[in-house]
Order: sequence, then structure tokens, then C-alpha cells
Amino acid sequence: MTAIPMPLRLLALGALLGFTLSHVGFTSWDEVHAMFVFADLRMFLTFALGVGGLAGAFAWIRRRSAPNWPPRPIHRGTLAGSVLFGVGWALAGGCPGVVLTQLGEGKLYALFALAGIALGNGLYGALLEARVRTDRQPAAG
Amino acid sequence: MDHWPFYLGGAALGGVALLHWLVAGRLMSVSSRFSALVDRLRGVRPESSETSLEHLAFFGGLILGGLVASLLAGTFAPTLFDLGPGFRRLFGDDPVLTGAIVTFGGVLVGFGTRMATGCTSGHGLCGVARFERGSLLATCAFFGSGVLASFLFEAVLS
Repeated sequence: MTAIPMPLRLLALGALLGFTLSHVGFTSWDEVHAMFVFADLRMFLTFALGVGGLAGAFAWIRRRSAPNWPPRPIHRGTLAGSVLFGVGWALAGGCPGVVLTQLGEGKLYALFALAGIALGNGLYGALLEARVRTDRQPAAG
Repeated sequence: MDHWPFYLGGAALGGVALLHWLVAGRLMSVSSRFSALVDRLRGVRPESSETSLEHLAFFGGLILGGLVASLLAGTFAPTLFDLGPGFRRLFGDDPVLTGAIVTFGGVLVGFGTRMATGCTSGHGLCGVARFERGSLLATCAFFGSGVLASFLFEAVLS
């Protein structure tokens, strides 16, 4: 296990996630829209079941060990940032991992979403992060 | 591509997130990888201790997974601005407008996930499954605003 280099492990994990996102339908704008307008509850159920199962597994892991999982407290950017993300997801049809999987499927419009994500991420990091983040010290330059 | 029923998709989604912890020793969080890579490009030292190669390997995997899934399903067909009939019904098929909408949506996704320090994987899956308060709020907020925005598109555009 330790013999497998981390980049290879992450390549495999990314591929499993991408394969799953494709088959769930998260890479389809129309499927995402059908989820958001409650026309098809399948992906909501998919997500809920995934979270539920994961919660059980994580609880089991916590009972047996003390994993170094980062806390995720509410901070000043949590609500506003997530609201913006949701609107962007509904427009672009992809969350950050999904746009890469869309590229793999040949959906080249995802290049625009990818550029937008990099731009938005960089804008926030450059302009606002040091002022809004309260849960850690700003990254040193 | 035929989509998996919810029990199969849910098991796979939760299973991948669990496997990520077991195999990589850290929780899955796609937007933090974006933040680390973008910081590296900006010449700022990222918070994450992972290397750029590791982030790029995961991203390469995400691309590969989509490629393999669509090739095996026989649905691989490169297109530039075909987001599907549902998108066209609301927003039309003008390529410039489509590109602008997708780009603007992407900016909101990148800005918002960095501001909220997480996205669907870090907050939605791995945070909610640990009942972390920030993740519970974030997940309600991004699903909620996605729902509101989508109903608004239907009300105004269809």
C-alpha cells in the first residue's frame, strides 16, 4: 500500500469520482437543472444516501481512532460564498470536480466554466480572503 | 448515458469519499485543490501541504473518469456548446451567450467555493457526514440558492 506513490493513488481516486459523477448524472446540465427544480429527485436521493452512508462510516472510524479531520466551523464567508456557489452551479451546470469530468466526456464548454472557476477563485484569494476569513491566519506570501 | 439508480449512485459517491480518506489519508475536497493550484499560479504559498503534482493527478483522474465512462457507454462525442435541450429551452443556442453564461457561472462557483472554503465534496459530502456546522450551513445554502436560481430561470425565461 505504501509502495504506491500518492499521485497515482490520487489519479485513481479522481478517476473513480469522475466515473461516478458521469454515471450519477452530475455532469449533465439538464440533469442538474431537473434536480434543482424538483422535476427529478433521483440525484437529491443519490446525494442524501451518499452522505448518510458516509456518516455511518465516519462515525465508525471515529469510534476506533482519532482521525485528524479538519473542523469546518461557520465563518463570515460560509453563507454568502455558498449562496454564490449555488447560483453559479445552477448556471454553469457543474461544481468544481464536475467541470473536469465534463471535459473528459468531451463537453468542451466546461473549459469556459473551468477558466471561470480559476478566475473566481483567484479573485477571491487576491482581493477578499484576508479580510473575510476568520477561521485561520491568511496564507503567508 | 443511462444514469444509475439512486441507491447505486449514493453507494458509489459515499464509497469514493470513504476510499479517499482510506487511500489518501485526507478528506476529499475538490475546491481546496483548486485554491492550492491557483495560489501556486499566483505565487502565493498554498495552505495545503500537498504538491501541485498531487492536485493535478486528482484532476487528471477526474478527466479520465469522465472519458472512460463516456467511452464505455458509447456516448463520447466532443461538442463545444451543446449543454442539452433543457438548457437551450431556457437560454437559447447562441454560442456567445452560452459561453458567457457558463463562464460567469464558473466565476461564481470559484469565488463562492473559495469564500465558503468548500464545495459539494468538502462541505456537502465529507463535512455534512461529520455534522460539521459550517458544512451543514454551506450545503443548505448552496442547494437552496441553486433551487431558487433554477426556479427563477424557469419563471423568467421559459
